[in-house]
Amino acid sequence: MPKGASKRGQVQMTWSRYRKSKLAMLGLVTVSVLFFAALAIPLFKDYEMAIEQDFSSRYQPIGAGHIFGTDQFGRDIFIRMVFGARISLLVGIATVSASLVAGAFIGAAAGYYGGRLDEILMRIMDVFLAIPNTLLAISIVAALGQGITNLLIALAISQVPSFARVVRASILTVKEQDYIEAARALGTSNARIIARHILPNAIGPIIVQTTLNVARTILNISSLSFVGLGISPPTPEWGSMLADAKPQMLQYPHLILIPGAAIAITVMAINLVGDGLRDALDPRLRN
Amino acid sequence: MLHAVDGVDFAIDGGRTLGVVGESGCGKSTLGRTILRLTEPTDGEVLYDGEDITRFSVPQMNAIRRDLQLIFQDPLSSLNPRMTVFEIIAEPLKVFRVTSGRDEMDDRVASLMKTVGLADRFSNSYPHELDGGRRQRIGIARALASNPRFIVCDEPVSALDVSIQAQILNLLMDLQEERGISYMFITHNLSVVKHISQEIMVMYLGQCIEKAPSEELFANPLHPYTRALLAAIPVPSLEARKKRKGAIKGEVSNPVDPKPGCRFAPRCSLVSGECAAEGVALRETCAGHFVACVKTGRAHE
Amino acid sequence: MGENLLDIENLSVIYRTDDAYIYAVNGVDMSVKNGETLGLVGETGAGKTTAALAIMKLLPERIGIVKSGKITLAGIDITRATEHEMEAIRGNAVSMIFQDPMTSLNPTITVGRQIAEVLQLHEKGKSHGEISRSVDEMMELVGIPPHRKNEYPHQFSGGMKQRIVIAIALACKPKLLIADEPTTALDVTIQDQVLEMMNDLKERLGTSMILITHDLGVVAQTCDRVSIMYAGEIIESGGVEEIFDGKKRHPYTSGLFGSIPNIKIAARRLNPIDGLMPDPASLPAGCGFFERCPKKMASCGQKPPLFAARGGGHVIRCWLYGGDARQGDGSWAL
Repeated sequence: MPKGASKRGQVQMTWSRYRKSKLAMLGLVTVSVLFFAALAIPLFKDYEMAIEQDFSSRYQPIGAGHIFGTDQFGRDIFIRMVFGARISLLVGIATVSASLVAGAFIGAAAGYYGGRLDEILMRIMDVFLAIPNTLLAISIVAALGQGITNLLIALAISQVPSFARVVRASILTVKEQDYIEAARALGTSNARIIARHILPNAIGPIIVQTTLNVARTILNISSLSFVGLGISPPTPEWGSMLADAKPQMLQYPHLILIPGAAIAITVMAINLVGDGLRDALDPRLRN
Repeated sequence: MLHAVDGVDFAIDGGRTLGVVGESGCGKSTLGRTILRLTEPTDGEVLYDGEDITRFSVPQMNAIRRDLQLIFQDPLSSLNPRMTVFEIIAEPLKVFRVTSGRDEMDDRVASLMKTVGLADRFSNSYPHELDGGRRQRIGIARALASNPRFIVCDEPVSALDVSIQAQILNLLMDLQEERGISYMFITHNLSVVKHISQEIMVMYLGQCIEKAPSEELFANPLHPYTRALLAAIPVPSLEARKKRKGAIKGEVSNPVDPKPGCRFAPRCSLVSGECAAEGVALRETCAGHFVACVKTGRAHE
Repeated sequence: MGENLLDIENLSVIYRTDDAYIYAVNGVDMSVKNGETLGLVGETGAGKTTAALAIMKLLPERIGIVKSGKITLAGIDITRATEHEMEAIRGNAVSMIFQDPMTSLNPTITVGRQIAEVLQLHEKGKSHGEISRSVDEMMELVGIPPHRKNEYPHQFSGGMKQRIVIAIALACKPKLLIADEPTTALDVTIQDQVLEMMNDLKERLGTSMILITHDLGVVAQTCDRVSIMYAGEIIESGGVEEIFDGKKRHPYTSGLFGSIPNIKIAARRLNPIDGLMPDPASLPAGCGFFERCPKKMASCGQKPPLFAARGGGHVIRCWLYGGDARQGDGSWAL
């Protein structure tokens, strides 16, 4: 008798399935490099270098002195990009995790218990959904005041409805399966049914929604920064770098291309990780 | 108002099997689930060891669930696709806290797998990797894990190939002999229940229309519907082909707001005016043989 | 073999997956005469449906591959036909119906239109009135009042839907109808009705039929000849009389009969065949049934058996019956 389907065994199996997808591995490597760079940068470079202006070396092109050149204030774009990654990734992941937890709770309760609770919760979510995401975040920041904590709160709240919807929808399809009834016939508690039997089987769409939201959040921060409610200058942040570069876009395209490419690559890498994770977590797709 | 099951009475003794037979929509599955209170009855009582479990509170109900179990028709959809065979069988042990400690649980799962004829090497497999017969064995092992005294078997072999069907039926009969479990065996196939049940109940549109000891029912079916069901089973012999008579007409009607009188009347070959009259009650024609038919019931009295 | 509507010689089909070749059909010979019904019997995974899909040329692209064999339908070599030619053959020469009537019909189109569509596709140049008349005719043929043609599939019961599916399949009067477990999803009394109707239609239209089923009872009620498949091979083939008289059978066929709960016999225990069908990704070297066979001999595990002729077109692929049914010219005496 092999000593049980231990948790470690499952993690290993998930990992071995994940590894099989080249794209998912590419995504994971990219995300890891970003994280590592963002975490390690203070060891090598001073934060001051990212914000101090040096008008003697404005608009340096991509080259030896500064790999990515310098911006309109003579700051090194590479250093600003790496420090900016700290904020983009932090805000992206923190807000999405927070809204995922809240949305999963609301969606799970609405989907599993149904009835009046479902009606009430989902109507509230509909009200939030009716307001465009960015607009909602803007109003929340405007009400709470500027600052990174309030920005986090605003972005998290604005995403809860999308998670609640997805979680509820996936739970509704899983809830009708025979194995849920089998669990009920065993007298399994509702909490255990949701956690052990429903959520693992509803995980696919939730993961996809999560990765989409991480990507959207990074873009949302830049929109908020653009209207002056996000990260205030001179704090380096990809979205605001993108916004700042707009006036010089035609003369100095690298100013806009570098943060633009960084956002695009990060978003894509996170999506690849999400897709890979979704497939790896599904034992039916083993091969 | 949908009357899925309407005024059905029956009793199952310890260690015995009641076969419940009927076509889709006759309420046989609803009946099985109502007994286990997975569907709440509108009216009526379910006595288990003399106590009415329809009045039990949720904790009381959960406490006796270990005695009352369920085996499903579709072995794949009734098994959580994200759990391994081991985890599925261990789940009831965890929920009912049957075992203490990891080792004891491992031993229990291993012995359950052996009981239902599943090789050890499958304990880390997922249900989708196994064939239908093995999946159904997992479902049976899960139902057995808490040492139940009563199991509702809802079409447990309908989704399986014939050669596997026979294996599973034999397994269920062996388990009954060894452990004295009572079964309620729900099926649409009369020939399947013949082997496993001591008593058979035939249902039509939510009502019990005939109930008799197994041998009596096959030897002497009284209700026209029971006869039609028996005649409709394709018999694997060529003699039956020659003396085939016409199939019964029509289809099962809708159980929403049923009319009074016999519900089988629109399809019945013996139908006459009195069948539309109110209330066709079950009548005992001979010892233990009940039938709800104005015509045949009287003829045999 | 000129009178045969369908001739299959040495058909082999494999499925190619990421990490294995699945040998679904291995050297199958089969033939169907005009107006005849052939029962193709076997368990899940025996290769029945794969063989049928090969006749329709509907095997999943790039995954299902016809490795060898020749399929001749009404004089046309299907294995060489282009997709364009197949479009004309499907529906006109051969039609197929599937097990689940619920998913074979488009829920958003009325049933009358779904029947009409097939007619329009294959009988171009027919006027609107003619098509409408044909639709009424087809619906009457399968026992559905034509005034219901403007209703949608969900308004019909399962048995009725299967009748509509049959009407669509028969709309262009195909010479061969392949029915894949057509009544398995239906209730017994409804199955009885549908089988009776199919028997009746077959006689009236003279359609040949391949009835795929796992139910020997259904075979006894409807078929003229039977081929029993196991692990991708036909292991026994013959007229219903020979198969059902029970004197000489392949051990697997005997096992199948022993597994059926019979309402006529009072036995407490059933006699199942122990074990499972071999994995089609790694078939044994000898007889495919070797592992489960109650009458196996040592030699059975080494060499696959050949067909032994029992006379009257009855052949059994088993060493118990020895022999070799191959004729002098190498073709099978089927």
